[in-house]
Amino acid sequence: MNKGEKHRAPRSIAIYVHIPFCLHKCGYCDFNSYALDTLLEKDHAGQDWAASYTDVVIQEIAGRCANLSLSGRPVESVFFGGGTPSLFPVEETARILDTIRRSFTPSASTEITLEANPGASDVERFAALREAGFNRLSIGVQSFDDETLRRLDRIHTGDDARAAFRSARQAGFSNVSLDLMFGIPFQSPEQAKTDIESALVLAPEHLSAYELTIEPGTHFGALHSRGELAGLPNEETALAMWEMRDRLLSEAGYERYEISNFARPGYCCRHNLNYWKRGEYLGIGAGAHSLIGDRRFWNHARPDVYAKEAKDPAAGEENITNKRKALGESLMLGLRLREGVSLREVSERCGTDPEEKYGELFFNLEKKGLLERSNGNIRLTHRGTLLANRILAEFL
Amino acid sequence: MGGGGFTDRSRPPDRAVLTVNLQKIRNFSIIAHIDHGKSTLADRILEITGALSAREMSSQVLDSMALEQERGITIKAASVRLTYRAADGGDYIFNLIDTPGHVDFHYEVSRSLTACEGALLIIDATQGIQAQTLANAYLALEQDLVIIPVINKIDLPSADPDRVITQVEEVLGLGGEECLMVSAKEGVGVAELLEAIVERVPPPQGDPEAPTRALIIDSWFDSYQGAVPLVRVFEGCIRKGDLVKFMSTRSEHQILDVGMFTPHPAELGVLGPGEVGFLTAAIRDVSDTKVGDTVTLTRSPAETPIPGFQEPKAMVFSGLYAADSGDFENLRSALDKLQLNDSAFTFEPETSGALGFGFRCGFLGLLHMDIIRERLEREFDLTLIFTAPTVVYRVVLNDGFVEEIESPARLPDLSRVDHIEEPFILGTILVPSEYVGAIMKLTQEKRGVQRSMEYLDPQTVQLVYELPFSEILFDFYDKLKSITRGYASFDYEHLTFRTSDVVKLDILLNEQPVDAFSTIIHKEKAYYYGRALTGRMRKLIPRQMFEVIIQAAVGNRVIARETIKALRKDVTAKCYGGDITRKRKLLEKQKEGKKRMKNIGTVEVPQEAFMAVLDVGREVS
Ligand SMILES: Nc1nc2c(ncn2[C@@H]2O[C@H](COP(=O)(O)OP(=O)(O)O)[C@@H](O)[C@H]2O)c(=O)[nH]1
Ligand code: SF4
Repeated sequence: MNKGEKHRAPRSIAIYVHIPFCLHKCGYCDFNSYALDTLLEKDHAGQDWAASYTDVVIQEIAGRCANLSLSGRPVESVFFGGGTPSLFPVEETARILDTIRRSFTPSASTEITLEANPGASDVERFAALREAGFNRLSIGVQSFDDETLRRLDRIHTGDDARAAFRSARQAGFSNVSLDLMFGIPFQSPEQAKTDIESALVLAPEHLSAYELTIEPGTHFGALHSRGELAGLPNEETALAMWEMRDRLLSEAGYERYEISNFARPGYCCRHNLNYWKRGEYLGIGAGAHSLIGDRRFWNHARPDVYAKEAKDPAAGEENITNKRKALGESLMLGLRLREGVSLREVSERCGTDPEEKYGELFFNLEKKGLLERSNGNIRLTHRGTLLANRILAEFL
Repeated sequence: MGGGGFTDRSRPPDRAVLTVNLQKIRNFSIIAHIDHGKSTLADRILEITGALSAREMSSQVLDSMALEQERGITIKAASVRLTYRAADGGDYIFNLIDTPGHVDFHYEVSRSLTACEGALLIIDATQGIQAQTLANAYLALEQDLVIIPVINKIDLPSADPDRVITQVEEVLGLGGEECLMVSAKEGVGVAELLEAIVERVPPPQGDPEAPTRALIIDSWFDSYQGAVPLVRVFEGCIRKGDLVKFMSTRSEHQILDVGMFTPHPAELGVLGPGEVGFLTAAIRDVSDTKVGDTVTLTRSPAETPIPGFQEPKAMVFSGLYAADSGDFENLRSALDKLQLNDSAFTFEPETSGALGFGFRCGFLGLLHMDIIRERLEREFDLTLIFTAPTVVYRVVLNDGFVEEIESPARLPDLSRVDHIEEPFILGTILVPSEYVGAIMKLTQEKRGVQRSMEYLDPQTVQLVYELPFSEILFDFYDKLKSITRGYASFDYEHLTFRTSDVVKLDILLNEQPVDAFSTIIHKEKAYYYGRALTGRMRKLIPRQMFEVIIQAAVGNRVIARETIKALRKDVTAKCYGGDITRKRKLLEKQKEGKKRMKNIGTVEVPQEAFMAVLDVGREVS
């Protein structure tokens, strides 16, 4: 931020809280999450593990506020992600949210989301969360097909997912998102279609539908690198699934506002939009990342290390003072959005004119039908979206 | 150091006086097929004559460059002057003149042998005579050298000296009783060998008062002393302070120093007939000090040079490009530096539509090319693209003019061409008799014509073929090795140019010809080669955002075609706050990878695709 901005009303900030615990580790998962049973066996007894993690998180909030002069900043969104935050005792979750409320300045319209897994979701719990102030739930369904869920190492069934959704509604959540996955080993296009249709029956406000990514360091990744991960769809089939997804959801009145995200009008996830627009965010908890000013930093990933370093849990950081790098990131993130990027806005934010730097590239991409330009705005075309990595790499 | 019982060389007088008795000089080389023990024997000789301490013996001295050690061959002669007190009580000067040990360096070997009166022909007692044993022995016989056959490795249980003796008698026509039994490794028989050198190798002759003639047998570049030639004096003398003339280049230089390796460099002040030593004269360029040239004195020059001089002639050419075009200047200076030490290596700028600015480089042969490539990559840390090696073609035009082309890209328009000639070699293969059939098949595939076939003994056959040189450029050695389980040995010499039915094969990417992929190839092989190369490239060129069509064409006729389908999906499904740094780095890496590709028209071609030309040559030919 430059000096002139100091006296203006401070820009709002997004806050992310990471709860790195799950009942069990899924085969494809590269999130910073730890199976609770192994954790509990080790050195935690009863509910203390949750209370002590909460204590550390609260300490971190205080420390960050003081060190980064963030106290009182307006908050546009709060997001509890994981891991499985719905597994975390509600009173601890509430304790954290209260601390955030006291330390910053949320408003009545602040979006406050919690990620839930069908396994740990009952009406009482959801009602308590609603009570605590959460107004949005994101449920990790992935699939409604039990066989497919087993292949993903998920420990819930399709019916559990439906039940979780109903519980959310019963508890009073009027903004619920479902996470789906496709391109799963041995998943047929028909089955992928059934999954989407099953989700549509529930009529959530928001849907994320991701193609499965094989990440290094996961169980799937290990299998894949040994050539032992069978049943992955070929490019043709995967593309058909993308098309099917886009068609069904758009017919059902959901707008694809990001590569893998769909929403009914007015229900885009504001927390995630902030990432893609490269707004500032503070990440609290083990392994959480933050972007404050031109500084990006991240915490120690392992909860025990994180807890020991609670005063300053940053494990690493990079300074993105380089205007070109900031611009590259802005385009890399912004072009994920269907609305694309306003060149003027980016130019102001990064202090460098994208047109000057990439005018020729824009022109060439446009000529190839990968990029569209209108009124000082650029965005990827349908074909461009499917080749996003190739295109976005050009801006880095 | 140095002069032993002859004179105190440590402080040479202003006009150094000749004191060496010709009768006490023995000039000889060790010649052998690779791995028969030449370096080991040289080390033993140095050790026994006391030239090196045991500590210094830890590494093989004559193979000084690391690269040479690794490949087990000596590229540049490194010769030494040793003193030896013989059984007769006399002190002798041994000039052990090293020779490069590979087929690419025939001429250099022959020049080194010219400087000798005798040669130790080492033969591995377990292997017997091999192709380079023969080639080297013939060179020595041509020079009228006294050959001392040395049967080495007699310590090994599988040694069969009797068989080797029979071979020596029957194949080389030397007396079996002349053979010495040696184990260079264990030092057995080496003392007897030194005595045999004294007794059998004749002393040099030469008139110290005659006009000076000295033969350059090696030269190298020293960053302090400039180009340094190693010479053997035949007549007259060369003294410190003399003004000398190199007869082929006519360049003149004032001698600053005259010396020899013992193996530590030692000043001598003067070289007389029969002596071997180096001259320092602040010569800027190794191209002034050509192997085979004659050095004489400006004041009283010799009338004629020593016969046999040849300009070094590159036989194999390849385009050389820096993978990163920003490295062009670095590449140029690296080539300059390499050439300082290796005048046989040539280069001149060339431009490729596909690869940009680079150099057309000339080498004596494939091994020479490999050595240069490795040195460039290792010593200068450059990533290089070599285009497929090619021989020189003689293009005879309709009007009778002849063009020699070193690059397929320079082939003139065929309507102007009467015919094309390609170089042939005479290849000698020695092989155990059970592999004769396999050799015949291989040489037939290679368009070879048999000249002779002869049993050297009941188990060993010598086959002589005329072969197009281009056919041994790719995989000949590899195949020879694999079909004979390593038992064949090969040597060749260049013959003449002959009319040949060759065509130019072009590769097109999305209809655009890519000059770097063009090759000249025999008509009958064009189809298979085109098919194999396009198939290989389809695997090496990654999918792009549009379709890529690879074609092989001879003239306007497309003979092979492959398609790389357009990439349709490359997208990251998830990217949230915690993923940004990692995803950005992944994309940055992707872009880095792209930078290392060459853009040909709109197609991005990885470096490996350029190398594929080499591999395909291997598969096809
Ligand atoms: N057993 C045995 N091995 C030897 C003898 N002489 C050389 N070698 C080995 O043969 C290999 C090749 O020897 P080297 O002197 O490098 O051969 P060059 O290529 O002719 O110089 C090395 O591994 C030597 O140790 C010997 O007399 N006996
Ligand atoms: S529930 Fe989610 S965070 Fe936990 S292991 Fe499975 S995929 Fe990972």
